[in-house]
Amino acid sequence: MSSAVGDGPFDILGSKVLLGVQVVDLSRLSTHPIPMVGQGLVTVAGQGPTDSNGAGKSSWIAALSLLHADDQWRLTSGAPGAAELLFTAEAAGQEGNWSNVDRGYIVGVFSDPELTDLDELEAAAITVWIRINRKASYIDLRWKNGLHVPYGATEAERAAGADALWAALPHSNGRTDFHANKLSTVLYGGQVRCVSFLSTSVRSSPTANLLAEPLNELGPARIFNAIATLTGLDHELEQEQAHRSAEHTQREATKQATADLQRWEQEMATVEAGILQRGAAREALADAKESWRARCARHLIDGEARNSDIVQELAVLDERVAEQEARREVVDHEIDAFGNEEVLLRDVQLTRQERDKLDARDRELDLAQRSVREQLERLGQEHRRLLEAGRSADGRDLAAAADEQTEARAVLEEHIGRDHAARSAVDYATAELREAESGQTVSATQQQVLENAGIECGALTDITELSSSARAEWEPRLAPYREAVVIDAGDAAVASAALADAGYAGFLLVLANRPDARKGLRGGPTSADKRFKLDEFFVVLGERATKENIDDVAGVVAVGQFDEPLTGRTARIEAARRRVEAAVEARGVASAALDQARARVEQAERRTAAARALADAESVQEQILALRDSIDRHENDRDSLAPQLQAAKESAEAAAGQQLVRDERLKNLEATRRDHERILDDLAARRLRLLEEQTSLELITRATAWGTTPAEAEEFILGLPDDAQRRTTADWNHQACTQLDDVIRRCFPNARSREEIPTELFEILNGADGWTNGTLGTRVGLVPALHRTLSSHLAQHETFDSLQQQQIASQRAERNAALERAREGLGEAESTARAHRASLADGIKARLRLVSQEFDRLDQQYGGYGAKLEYPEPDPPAEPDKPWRWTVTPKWRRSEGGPYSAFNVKGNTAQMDEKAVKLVCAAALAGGSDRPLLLILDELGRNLGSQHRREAVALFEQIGRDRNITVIGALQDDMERYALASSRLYVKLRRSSDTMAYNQAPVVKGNEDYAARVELLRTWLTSYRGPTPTLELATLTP
Amino acid sequence: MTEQHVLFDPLLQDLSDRARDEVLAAFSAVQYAAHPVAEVQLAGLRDVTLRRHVQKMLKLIGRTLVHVDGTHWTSGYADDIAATLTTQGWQPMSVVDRAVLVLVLIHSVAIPRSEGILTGDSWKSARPTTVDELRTTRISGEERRLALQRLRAAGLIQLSGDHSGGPSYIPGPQLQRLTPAARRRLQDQLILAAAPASPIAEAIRARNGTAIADPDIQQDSSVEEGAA
Repeated sequence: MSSAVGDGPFDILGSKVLLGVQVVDLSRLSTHPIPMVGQGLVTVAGQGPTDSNGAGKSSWIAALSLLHADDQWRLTSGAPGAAELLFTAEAAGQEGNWSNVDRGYIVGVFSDPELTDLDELEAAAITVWIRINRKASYIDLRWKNGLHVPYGATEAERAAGADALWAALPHSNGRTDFHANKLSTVLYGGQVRCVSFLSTSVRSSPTANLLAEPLNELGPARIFNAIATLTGLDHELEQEQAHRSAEHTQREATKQATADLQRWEQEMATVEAGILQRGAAREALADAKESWRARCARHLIDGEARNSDIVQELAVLDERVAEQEARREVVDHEIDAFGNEEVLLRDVQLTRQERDKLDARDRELDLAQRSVREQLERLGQEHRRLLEAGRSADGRDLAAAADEQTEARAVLEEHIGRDHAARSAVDYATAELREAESGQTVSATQQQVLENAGIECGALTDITELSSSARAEWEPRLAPYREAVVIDAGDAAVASAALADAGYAGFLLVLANRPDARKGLRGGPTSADKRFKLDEFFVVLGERATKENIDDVAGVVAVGQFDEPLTGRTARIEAARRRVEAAVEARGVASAALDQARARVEQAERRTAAARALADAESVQEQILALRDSIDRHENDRDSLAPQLQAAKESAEAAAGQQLVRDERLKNLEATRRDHERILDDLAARRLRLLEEQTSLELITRATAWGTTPAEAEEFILGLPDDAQRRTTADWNHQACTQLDDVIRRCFPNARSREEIPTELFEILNGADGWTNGTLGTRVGLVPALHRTLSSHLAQHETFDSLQQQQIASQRAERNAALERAREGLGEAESTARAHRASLADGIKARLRLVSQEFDRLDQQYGGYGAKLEYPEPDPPAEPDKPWRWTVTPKWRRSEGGPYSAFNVKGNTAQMDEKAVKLVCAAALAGGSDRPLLLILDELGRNLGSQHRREAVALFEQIGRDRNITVIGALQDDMERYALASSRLYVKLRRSSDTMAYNQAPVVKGNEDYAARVELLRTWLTSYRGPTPTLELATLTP
Repeated sequence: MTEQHVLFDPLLQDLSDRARDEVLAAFSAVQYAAHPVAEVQLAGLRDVTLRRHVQKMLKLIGRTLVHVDGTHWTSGYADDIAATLTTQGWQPMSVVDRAVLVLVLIHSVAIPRSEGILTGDSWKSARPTTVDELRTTRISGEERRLALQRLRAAGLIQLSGDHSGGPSYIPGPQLQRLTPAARRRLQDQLILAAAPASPIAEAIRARNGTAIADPDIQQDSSVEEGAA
């Protein structure tokens, strides 16, 4: 049990006991106040609709166990199981009429059990209210001094008043209420007040306890726990556990400190290693610097020596250069002398110019002569051609020829006109012939119209066949019908209409094939076309007319004697052909005349051209003569020029000879001069090389690198050991680089990433021409920079390193001291825990001995053969956080004088339960505490035979009498008989029907001795009527 | 009623009602409370024997008790479990979320710690990180806002009470679920990232004996162990 912490209310009930209880909205329980007795056996019976079940016994005693802060409710976790006690309509079978409640109340009235006077009783009373909520927080706790219970005449009144009464109570915990976790502490000071076995329907604990399970299902350890709880040993054990907790804490701290120290040492080892390495690196760097200094000295001295050599050689070279230059100068003078002969040069040039001029003139003349000759030749040819052409002029001169030509052309034009007329006549005649041959000579257009209208037709004149002998007789008669067209008699109407539409009014149509035609005339005209029969027409014409007088009646006369037959195609074609032939003949005559005229014109033209050529030939002859004169003139000019030209050529040749000699001499001189210059160049090149070498020695750099004068360098080298003195610069370079490598390795022993190395250094090491991959030459160049960087790096770390070393030292001391302290604390805690454990073990054993004795006594007193407990002292836990596990093994004799056998040896179940009850009682009796204790047994006497039940009931009653223990037992039906007699209080919960939501008022009875008190209490509880106190009470602050 | 859990029953069997109750209460408190639970409040934490039971229960589900400030307790992933989960690629946080969280940790914890304002190895800090300090060109404003929301919801950061310079954040209670090893790993990674050339970093590398991996990833994998 937790030791009381804080200053809040603690153990407010102390040794007060429950004198009355009232529940509101819990299960189906009625709200009637039920008085209780402070000691002894209380039996709870039920009267349900059929048997004892269903009356709410279990719920009621569960409420009592909750009121007494039974651990089974898991109070630390907020007692969530308590909510299941609330009235639930469905569980009550009343879901149709009632709804679930959200909260219910358990009201307990506690007071001193000894008091009998009502006023005193009320003055000492404390009313405790526990509100059970459907949701967390499940339990709220309030209380008040004096009586404060729901009241009213009916259930509904009492239930309705409960909320207001709750609200009237002061908050238990300042502004809020205490919850389940504080229930035990606040009400009972953390002491066990209740051991219970609740039936499974309301029990919330899945674990067994002494009363809840057959004893053999519990381990000896659990039995010890149960006994310890009942006897108050648990407080002591908790104390021991607290000691062990402290020990554990110390041990953890020590472990932690050790681990910390170890880890820290590991880390610091690395850091210290780094510091040491850097220290070594500093020394190595100093060595490297020294080597570099020697190298610089050696370098400077070597440079100086070489420099003096070079200076000497340069002086020699300068002398030789001066000599060579003098020689070259002599040659130069000679060459200059040639430069003064300018007159000679000019003469040569003039002579050459004269010669060139004359030569040019001569060539010019020659050219002119040649061109004139060519011209002459051409003109001669021309002249001969012209004379040849002039021969066809037939002796006519140009004017006569022109006249003849004009005349001939006029004649030709006339003949052309005639010829054209003849051609036209032929064409006309030919067209006529073609027309006649095609047959469409008469009324062609009208016939076309008729044919288009689909009517067969033909010209009358064409169809009519007339013999030559009949011509004179018949032609006059037919003359009026020369234009007429023959059609079939049936087509007359259609044809008339078609022609009228086409605009040929007045046109004559002769109808053929008329019916009833008469036979034709002999020797008269006949139809040549089989389609048309014209006999009737001809007969009528013959009858009606004579040869000339074609219509005597009308007085019409036709003129006869036609040239050609009026009728018939053949005749007409013949006539046309004859006309064509005549036209062709006429055209042949015209053509011949035309050709003749043309020939005459051509002859005239030829004669004109020849006459013109003769005239041209004369002018050409004149030109030839003029050219012959100019040739002669040119010949004379050239001849006069020749002597002058010859003289000029000779003088020019002489001048050229002189020039040649001079050039040869000059060339010789220049060759000599070039030799001298080459020697000079060689000397200069050598000098340049020497100078370059001198520059490359970089004496200033070497001197700067060394720092002071060469003499001092010399001195420094002489100061070195012999073998060191002999070292060359290269040796020193190698040594310096090796030493620097060593420094770098020491500074960055496992440098893998560039973050660990300063950027500058990283560049030097891993740059393009870096240290790591560079040749010795590259490295030498980097030495000063590396020196500087490493020095600054090491210098930076120097103070930090020393500081860190100090820190490490002080921390090491500090941590070791802390560890030492922790170890001391641990030792102390261990010894404390050990000492406490030792004394506690004695206490526990003493207490267990008592329990054992009590157990034996009870067992023998109530039907047993003797029992005892075995409780070996356990070893202290190996680790402080492991439990110090005590065990208790109950043993009892199974027969008179038999051996003790352990509880878990299979026996009969009833015996097991009986012993469990005895053990609980023994533990309670041996507890030595005068605190009231409540034992709650649902299904009292389960598994017990009737004799055992009787004994059990007697046992409980006796315990209750002897000790401050109340036993509340729920009865099975058949136990009522003998339970009634021995119990001080008998409570019967009643419910007559399943249709009722709530129970009826319970029956509460005390036994003979207690009936009066029970009645008194009941009266007292029911007398309450609101917050106005029945007595004036001083309000205690909770 | 009590949750009957087949996993825990063997452990709880031997305990008395009260002890069992205390152990369960303590177990629930360290597992589900947003903040660490004071030792004095719960007997299951106060008493070393019961605490041992709580630790055993946690171990069954891969977690462990974490002592905070010497007076409080909470639970976090056991180191071996966290390592296994990380190896299997368990990473509930996006890159942006991790980046924002690291920024908050740097400003609220790492910098004050290097200045000596904060001591110890806790990742709790009262020094707020303002939104301005979280501004970076690599993360857009919208992304940052969403990331902050998610981190707040996960309890990895929380709003600081100081609103003088706009909203500002401090590390959330979930970071207290980090085991000492996880806290040290986080600190190591920050040191390696911030001062790789320092002797401490060298010591860390020597201790780890490994080449430098990407510090962000390791760091965050240790951070999210706390996100339960």
